[in-house]
Amino acid sequence: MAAHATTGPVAHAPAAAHPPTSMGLPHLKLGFWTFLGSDCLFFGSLIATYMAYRGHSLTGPYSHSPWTAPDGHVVNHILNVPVTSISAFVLLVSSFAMVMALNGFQTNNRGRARLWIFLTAIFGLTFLGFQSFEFTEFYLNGLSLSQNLFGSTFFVLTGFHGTHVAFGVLWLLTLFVADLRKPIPPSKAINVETCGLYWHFVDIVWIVIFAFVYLIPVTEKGGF
Amino acid sequence: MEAHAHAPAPGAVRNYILVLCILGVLTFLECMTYFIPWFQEHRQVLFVAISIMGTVKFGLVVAFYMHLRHDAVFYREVFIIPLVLAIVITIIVTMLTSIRLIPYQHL
Repeated sequence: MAAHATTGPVAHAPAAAHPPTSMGLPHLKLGFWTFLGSDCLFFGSLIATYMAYRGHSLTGPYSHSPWTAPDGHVVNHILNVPVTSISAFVLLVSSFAMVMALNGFQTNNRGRARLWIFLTAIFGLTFLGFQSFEFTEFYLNGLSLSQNLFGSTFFVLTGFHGTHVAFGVLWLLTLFVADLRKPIPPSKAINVETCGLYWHFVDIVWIVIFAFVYLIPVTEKGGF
Repeated sequence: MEAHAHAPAPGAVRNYILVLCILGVLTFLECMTYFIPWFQEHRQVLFVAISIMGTVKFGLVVAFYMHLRHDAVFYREVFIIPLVLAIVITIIVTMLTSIRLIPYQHL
């Protein structure tokens, strides 16, 4: 079987949208999957750094245990799991909105395409709003990038993820405006599909961060 | 010439909705583990449960929303090989730093 053969219920459109390539795969999509593979290693290194230093902060605030500040102010565990659960679900819903938008572009359903790609951007902005709220709360409770190991590794990891989300929102809004100016035909839906791959990748990275940073408490020795 | 533009299969939207429902339920269950005291007392079980639910969520998004289940095999290879490498690096680094005789707090 050729490497480019599809194995599931994905039908080829009648119009050829791309020139033939040596592998039979569109270069844009192949290159983007390769980029996502490299981004796995990038986020893998950040998550590994967080895991290596978890529970090793010499001073608070701590992620899962209380801390008394020098001024006597008591900070309970700083991570707000209920709020982050909602923002995690918002990001999952945005992934659903993205596949609905791609479906609209592929079937030339302009109303569906524009509505869902706009909603995807709105969900992305909502996630960023949650993250801004969370970062502000942390800062007001004494956690900053330089406060302790938890602050350094947490803000770098989630900050880079938030930057990815912000870039994704810009990309989505660019596609939305581009489609308003000149409708994107099904033969060029690969441009939307590439944006969708990026957006879903941002989503799966958050699935990992949410599980290992927020939901698994840190013991005093840094273990599980 | 090979056509690369894909049209969605009939019933694709129904699958997307079904996957979203499963993702929602799993996220709810993950959140619930945080509030159930038994899980906080049995952290190894919590770790395994969270890992399994996270992996299922990860797999569902990659397989259905990123269409890796139905797409070309080569895409799987260029994505999964670095992914496995990242997971292995994370596990090794975490294990190496957890094996130490003197905790940092006492240095």
